[in-house]
Amino acid sequence: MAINALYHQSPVRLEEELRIIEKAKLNPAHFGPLYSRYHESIFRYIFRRVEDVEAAYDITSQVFVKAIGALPKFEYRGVPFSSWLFRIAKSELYQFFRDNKANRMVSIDSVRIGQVMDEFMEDHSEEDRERLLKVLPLLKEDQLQLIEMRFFEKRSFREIGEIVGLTENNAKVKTFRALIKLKQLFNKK
Amino acid sequence: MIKILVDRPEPDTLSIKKRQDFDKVLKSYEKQRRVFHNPWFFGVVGFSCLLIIFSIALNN
Repeated sequence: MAINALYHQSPVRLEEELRIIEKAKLNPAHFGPLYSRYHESIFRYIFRRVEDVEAAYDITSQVFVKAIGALPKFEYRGVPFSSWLFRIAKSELYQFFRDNKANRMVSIDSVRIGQVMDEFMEDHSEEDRERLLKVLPLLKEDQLQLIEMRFFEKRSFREIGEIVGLTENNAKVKTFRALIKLKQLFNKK
Repeated sequence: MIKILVDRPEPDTLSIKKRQDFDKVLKSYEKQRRVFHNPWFFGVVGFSCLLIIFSIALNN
């Protein structure tokens, strides 16, 4: 997946990225290579959560506008630049939902639904999958986010933690709890 | 409300790349920066805050 390939960068590439960041802090025009590198992954993150594709492009642009503005405050402390961008994307998304009273979307591909079902039971039918889709929106937003990032977007716990502001361990525990909650809701229905 | 979409077709990499426009992003940033760095902006905001504080103080 493109998102994770960008997350797990080689030390050389990371160093090169930090050099670009430092240059961009002095002159925003140097932000271009970072924009080109992360535009697609940020767009896909947003697209999977909003219904309107044009809105997704607009929010993506706004994420980069905000990122350029906040760049002087960015300090590399082990958290990759991509996670910092995803945090801005997350906050811009919720701003969009608040301002436009828009529906929060969850985009899933059928293969991933099967993978979540595997966590619940060995054999599952089409009916079970339908039931899962019905109970997913019943989760709290923060739990849904964790399930979404872990199972539908296949992110590592470390990356999830960095995006939502948790330690890797905490992200793991909270995702596990969210999965238990989902299982309970699934069995209740 | 949360809406679930299964197997929603995603735009391909090429069409996303075509929509990249760094100049537009840079212009938007400059525009926003100009607003916040404009002394008039802070003058108006500061004056409004003072008015609010005065009106609250007078009412009390």
